[in-house]
Amino acid sequence: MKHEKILIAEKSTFMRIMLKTVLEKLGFEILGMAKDGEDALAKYHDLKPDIMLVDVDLDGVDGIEVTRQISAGDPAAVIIMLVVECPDTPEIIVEAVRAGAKGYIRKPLSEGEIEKRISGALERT
Amino acid sequence: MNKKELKILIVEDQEEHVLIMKNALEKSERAQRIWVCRDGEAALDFLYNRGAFAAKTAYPKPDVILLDLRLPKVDGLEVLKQIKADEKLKDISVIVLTASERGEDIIEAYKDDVQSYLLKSAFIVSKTGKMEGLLDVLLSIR
Repeated sequence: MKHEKILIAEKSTFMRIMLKTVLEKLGFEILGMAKDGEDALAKYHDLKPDIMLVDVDLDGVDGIEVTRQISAGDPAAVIIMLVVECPDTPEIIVEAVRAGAKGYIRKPLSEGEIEKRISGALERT
Repeated sequence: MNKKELKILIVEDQEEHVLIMKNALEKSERAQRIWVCRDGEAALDFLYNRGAFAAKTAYPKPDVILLDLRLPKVDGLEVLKQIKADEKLKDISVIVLTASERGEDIIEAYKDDVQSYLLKSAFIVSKTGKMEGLLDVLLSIR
């Protein structure tokens, strides 16, 4: 088991389950999963993860605001944004980094693409 | 060589950071091979099998590049542009590992199709690299 513990905040049920599956397979402990911003903030404070993966497009409190609120209390929090391709994405990422995000991961576009990439990742383990 | 092993090229000029990255990668259970280039010119020579990297078998096309942006000789963003402009190289996943929080760098890297962008402050938190699993997360969701 790897020592970093992860919290996943992701709007899409499919993506939440896929991320959990592949990261657990790689030895990470998934402390919890949140589907909206309020849930993400509550679970961050309850579970204190080492790494938090945050969908920019969370319902309610959005991913950037979640990042801003957590980073205000804990500037060293390791929050990585999950982003999708859209015209505004570059500016959204810049805003997320200003809010305290430590980076981003570009999400695969389709479920088929996700399955292909995850399958590739699992084959290499 | 195991055909499923992940081929990783680290492009980083700071020795300490290279060691932290290699240490983190080597603790992964993933089958992999790792090469290191210390500047942007060497990275391009590696990718085009030029000069000291002419032997294609010894220096194959990587699956993933961990790329710093501030590099001697050729800047990381220029290396990225050349990779993404080349039909034979553009499918390589590029993960930027940088100290730069500049909006211009973030936007340029995104427009040049980097898969992930990670601030070194998250990964290189100490000489022992406590967040060593973070690279595995990025490599897993690419």
